Amino acid sequence: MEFDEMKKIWDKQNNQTMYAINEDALYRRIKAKGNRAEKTANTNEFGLMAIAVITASVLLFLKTPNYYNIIAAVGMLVMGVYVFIGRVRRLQKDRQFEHSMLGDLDRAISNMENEVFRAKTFIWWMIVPAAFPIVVRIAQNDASWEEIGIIATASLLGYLVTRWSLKKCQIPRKHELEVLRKKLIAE
Amino acid sequence: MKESEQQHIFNNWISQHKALLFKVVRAYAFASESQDDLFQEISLQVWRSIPRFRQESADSTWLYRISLNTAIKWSTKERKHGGHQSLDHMEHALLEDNPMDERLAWLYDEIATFDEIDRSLTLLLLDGFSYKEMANLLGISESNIGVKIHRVKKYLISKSSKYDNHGI
Repeated sequence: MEFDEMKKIWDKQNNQTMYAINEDALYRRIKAKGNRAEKTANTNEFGLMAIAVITASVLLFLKTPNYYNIIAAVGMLVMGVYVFIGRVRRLQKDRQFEHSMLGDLDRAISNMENEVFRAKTFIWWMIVPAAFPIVVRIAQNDASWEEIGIIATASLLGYLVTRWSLKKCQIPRKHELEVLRKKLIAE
Repeated sequence: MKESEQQHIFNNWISQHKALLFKVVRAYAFASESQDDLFQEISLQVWRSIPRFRQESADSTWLYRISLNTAIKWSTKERKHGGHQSLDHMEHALLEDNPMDERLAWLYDEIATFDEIDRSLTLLLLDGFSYKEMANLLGISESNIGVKIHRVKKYLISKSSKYDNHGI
């Protein structure tokens, strides 16, 4: 069979649809999921920025202002600014990729690299600033054992969950995308 | 963009280009549950892509890009998880309508033996895209497209001679 004949066989299906669409079910699924990925990313980023600002405000305005509380508040605000800059960069970078399958793959790899970097540095931009106030209180002999236990467990748990997700999800996904990219550009 | 406007474009695209979407679904997913899952995923990505569509390319080129991209990523995930995840609790969005021509089924079976990238290239080739259009759509050079297509055509023609001889 010549290729032109295969093309004729292929074109026949344009006039005879293989499937029927259950439109109601399809629309319900789309309505349910909609733009969830983008909304989740926005919620995470705005959530982290809100946590930073609220914690800093509590430390500066509701607590007794002292040297340690000011440092802790500044630490939280720096974390908020870090998340904000990361968000601006993510949105700017998103617009730079060309409109092709290779561009889409490059965007997906870049997003995954971003996630991997954030997960790897989670301890520095989230756990350290968040734990700083309690560390200060420990230094001032002002923290109870319960508080120390809670913050230590939460920090350890946060760290372990992030590492687990990095190993099980983000790194393998990034690798899969890189393999696809190699296949696409290989001759 | 207003949701009603997005919905209007989505409805038009689905009704005008459903054959294109079905071809991608059939080339990347084999069990009916998987086809349903992939079709829903492609529809979702098409819906999400509407605000980004700038009319710099034809609707069909845009839809091919979105659907092939989704199908490629979906099939790597599918392979990793060893088959489709259960959709028993979900309503089906795709219902098989017409039995497929035997020679067309053979062609799909052969396409299924290619890797994800060559599969997408074969679909574009069979749908009459030029080398230049394919190069733009995939983001690789025309010469690279030429090399891949030469290999794909050679393979399909050699397989078809066996098909013709044995009437499989």
